Amino acid sequence: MEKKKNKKVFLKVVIIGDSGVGKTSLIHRYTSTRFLQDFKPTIGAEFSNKEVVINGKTVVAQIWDTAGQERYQSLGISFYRGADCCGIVFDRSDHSSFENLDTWKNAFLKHGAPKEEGTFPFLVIGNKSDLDDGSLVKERDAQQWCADNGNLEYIETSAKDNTSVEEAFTKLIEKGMEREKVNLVELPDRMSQKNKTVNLQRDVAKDVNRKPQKKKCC
Amino acid sequence: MDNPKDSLNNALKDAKNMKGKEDKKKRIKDVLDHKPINIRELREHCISEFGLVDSSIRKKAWPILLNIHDKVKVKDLDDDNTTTPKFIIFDKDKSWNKHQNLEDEKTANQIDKDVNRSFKHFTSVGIKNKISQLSRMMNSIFQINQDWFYYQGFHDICSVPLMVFDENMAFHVSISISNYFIKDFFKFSFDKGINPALMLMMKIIQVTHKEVYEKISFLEIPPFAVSWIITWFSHNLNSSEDICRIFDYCTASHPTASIYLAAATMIHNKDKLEDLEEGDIASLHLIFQKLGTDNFDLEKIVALTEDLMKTYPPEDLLYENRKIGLENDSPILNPSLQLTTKIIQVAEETQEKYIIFPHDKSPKSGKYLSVGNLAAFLILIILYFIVQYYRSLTWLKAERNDSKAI
Repeated sequence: MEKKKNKKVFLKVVIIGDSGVGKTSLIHRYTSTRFLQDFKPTIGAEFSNKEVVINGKTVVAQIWDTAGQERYQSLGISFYRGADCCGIVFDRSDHSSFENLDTWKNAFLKHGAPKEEGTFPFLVIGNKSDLDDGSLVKERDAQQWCADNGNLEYIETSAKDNTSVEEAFTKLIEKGMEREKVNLVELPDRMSQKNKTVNLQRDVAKDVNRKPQKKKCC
Repeated sequence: MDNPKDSLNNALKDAKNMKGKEDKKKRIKDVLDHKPINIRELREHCISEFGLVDSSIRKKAWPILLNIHDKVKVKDLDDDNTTTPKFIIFDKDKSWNKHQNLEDEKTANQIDKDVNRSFKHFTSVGIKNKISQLSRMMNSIFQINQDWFYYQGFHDICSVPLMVFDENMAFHVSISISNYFIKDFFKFSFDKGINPALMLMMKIIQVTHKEVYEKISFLEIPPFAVSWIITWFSHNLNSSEDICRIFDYCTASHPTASIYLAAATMIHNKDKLEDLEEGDIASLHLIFQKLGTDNFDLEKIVALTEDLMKTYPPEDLLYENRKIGLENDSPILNPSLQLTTKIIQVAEETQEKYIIFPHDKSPKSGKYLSVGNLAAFLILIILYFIVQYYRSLTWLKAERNDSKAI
């Protein structure tokens, strides 16, 4: 048991949401503790790692940053598979990004196809709280949306001011860990477990290759 | 790490490169000054080490390579009856500017978000002005071509001509690059452009470097290569000189060049794949996603790309993968710039100028086959009529003889 406690937990965290809401900035703030003024749009997907200790366990968060433009969704969906938790980000100063939360959540459930659709750990993140000029999406409205959509948890952040960024990711990781409680396994097993979910096509290809061999035997 | 011997070697290397660049600039200037301009030589300079070297040369060469002229008079190579050319080089048409109000609001919003995140890695003054120029250009491009769908990353492509030219010329260069090279990526479905390009990249690696392919084949479509291919590395590289060098290479090559470049980038870094476990997408992504920003071995990768293009030419690649999903109007399937073989006469201001587009690569040109076929067919028909005529003559003669005999 003691040995098991020391083992690292690998968690796949996926961050989605409209273009320009600050997904990359949030991740960058969390993983490198800096705010990038000169960020670029994410094309395809980007990946980063962060090792943290949460509740006495060492966790390696594998964070996938995805492109916000709708067109890129067909590429993004290959990253949804095998996710342990998902952060949906909107820009509090851009109401249409709030209205699109629905679309993002549904796309994730459809393409990520997690086993527990109703209870999958999402965290809704309202970013750019620093831009407060009275016209931001109100906390009450965001909380209401979360309540109506499966009692999701909501947090308000500012990647620029570094407000609640660490808290948001910690929450997300804790949620992911809760879900994974039953199967905290070490790296190699965990990786191979992921492979199975990601490489369906490859496995099919292998099976196809196997068939002729069987025929030869007969 | 930095021992004196290394720094001496580096200094020597830098000095050698500087000399090489100066020499090359002179040679390219000779090509550009010598009328008629030999496009084949110009293309060879784009491909070989250092490309076109600097922006003063690019200003003259890119429009020629991209076939941008106001009015041109096309003459057949065999026609020696040369008339005096009276046309002006380069498109001065600014009418595109009337279309800068993009009706498609969603695209306009996306463009707005992306252009405001442009030029971030360039530290020159007047960035704000460049951003508004970029915005006007891109809105016009999608207002004029309403069947093109904007993709994030195209703004990176358009920002490169804006570093070299004024707004008007940058617009025409961007349009030409789109039409002749990257139009496939504007298709609404990624299955008709971006995914086939990624699959072709994997095929190049599979055919030319099987050992590398086996390491990465668990990924059917490698997402980290998307921006390499669809932005010609302009999204990834930090140095504007390096980006322009890639544009030299791509504008002078087959439209699959950026796909070959992406394949070469992975092959060149194959040592980094040694410890990669099968299925470890995260590590594979980490290896390649930052490649563009640090230590991009540019000249070696370009040279390797050229090797790949020779060992597994685009014609073979595209023939063997002809059902990959590209549509008939794909510039990848119809590399029109490479097929131009006419003399184009252009006058630049008062000075006469001739440009030769010699018969380049692409021996499998459909045009030539059809011209040959047509000629053969005509000759056959003519022969047939001659024979018929001759036979009818002899028949008449025989009949006359017969009637005489009677």
